Amino acid sequence: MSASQVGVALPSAMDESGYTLTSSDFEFMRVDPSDAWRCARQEGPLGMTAALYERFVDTLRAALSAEGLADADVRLQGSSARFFSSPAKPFPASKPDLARQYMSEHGRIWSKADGDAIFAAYELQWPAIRPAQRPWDALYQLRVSPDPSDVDIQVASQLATDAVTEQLTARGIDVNEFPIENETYRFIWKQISDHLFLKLKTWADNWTDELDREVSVAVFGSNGPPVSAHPASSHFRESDWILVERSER
Amino acid sequence: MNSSKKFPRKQIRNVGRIKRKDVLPSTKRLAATLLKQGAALGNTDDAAPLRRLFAKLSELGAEGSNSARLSAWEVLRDQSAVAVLFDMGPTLRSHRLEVRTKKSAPKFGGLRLRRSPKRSVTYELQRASVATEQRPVQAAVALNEHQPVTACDSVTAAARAKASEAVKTSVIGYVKAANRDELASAVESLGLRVRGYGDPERSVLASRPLRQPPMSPALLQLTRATPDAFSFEIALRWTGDTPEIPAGLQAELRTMTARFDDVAETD
Repeated sequence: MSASQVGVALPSAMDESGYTLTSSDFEFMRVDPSDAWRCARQEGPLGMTAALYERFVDTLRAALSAEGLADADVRLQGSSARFFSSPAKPFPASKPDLARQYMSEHGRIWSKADGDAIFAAYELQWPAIRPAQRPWDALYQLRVSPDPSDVDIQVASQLATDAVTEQLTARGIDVNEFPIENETYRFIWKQISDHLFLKLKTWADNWTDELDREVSVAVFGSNGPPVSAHPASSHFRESDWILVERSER
Repeated sequence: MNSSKKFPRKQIRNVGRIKRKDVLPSTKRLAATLLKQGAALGNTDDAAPLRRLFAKLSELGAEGSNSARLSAWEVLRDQSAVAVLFDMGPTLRSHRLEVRTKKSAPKFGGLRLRRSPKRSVTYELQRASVATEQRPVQAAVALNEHQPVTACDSVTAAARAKASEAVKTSVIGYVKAANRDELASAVESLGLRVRGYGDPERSVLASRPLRQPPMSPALLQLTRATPDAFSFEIALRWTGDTPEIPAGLQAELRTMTARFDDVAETD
């Protein structure tokens, strides 16, 4: 029996446009009320049972320790923590938007049959009022994206930045002339962090297999992303979901 | 995540004097095993801390009582023991051994000493009936949390040394694919699953660990060669010893790239 049929209370989840997820949206996202509440209370992200979440954090701590990132502050970002993706990733507002997103995800244009089916499902779920940000797994359920929403991990560590600087310097690169951060999101380029922090990457890969959804790690300097008015900014906030607190040394 | 994929059952079954049915070795057998393994490490100075730790655990294990088991567990959760075990990683590997934490079931958590990589001999130090207020992984974390303030500098330096451990790369070849489906089917036989193709910020589109902690990492990675081209790089990245690539995977790589030789470090 669905949540809407029995009138089970659901947490309020609102995007920046003011759109609030309905019980029908939660059903569409395949999120049951207990999971939604666990997420709202920051007791477990969407897509993970309580037991998995506990092991997820334990193994993360071990991976950070093995990697030598003793000063890491780790936060959970994105739709698995907040029900919606960042405002920088708008939810398609029309059929052409859906087609563009499909093309980006697949590298090709959709077939007519696929396009019609996707648009029909989209209109059925959101006939008039639509979210501005992407609800968790919504593009996957619509079959626009072949991948479910990822688990977005934000690591802030000065030791990580130092290690990157050291590795680049060893390769003859002057970091003063070679920006190591993505211009928009300010994380260390993933071409660098995914290749240098192999223990952390191994942890993420193992969990990607276990959850059957990407565990994505973005590495920042000690203070995390800088405060910015950019909608993509994920600077530290009071409401952040902290997975690993920085140990005071 | 499932370790049975990495260590085939056949290997685990051929375990010296520990038979398959002995999932829970007696503490006496454990004591004898640890003593033997400690002795096998030789008399080098770098193996001394581990030999001492093994001797202590052996002594406790030889008693065989629940209180001795509890004491053994206390030794293991003690930060110095965890530090020894983690710090001894390279020495153990040089003796073709590894220590790994095991958390497959709540009652069977503990430390596993494994002979590696091919003639796999697995010994498990079980904490079966021991209170479980803290698990090995948490104890490892506690190592960082409870260091005395005076040790800060050395701990940070050690952590930093770990963080800047040299990563070696061997580019195996390149795959061309016009879209996600083509790419996914091209690398499927390598056990690589493409994810995040539509995310322009993502570099590694598929990745597969070739060995598990506490061994040093080794990954087979599929990476965008350039942001806008339909060319993708397949490379091995690792720290520590050069990884052994399973024969089946080597064959697949040879077939795919027709240019795969023995792994050679490129940087």
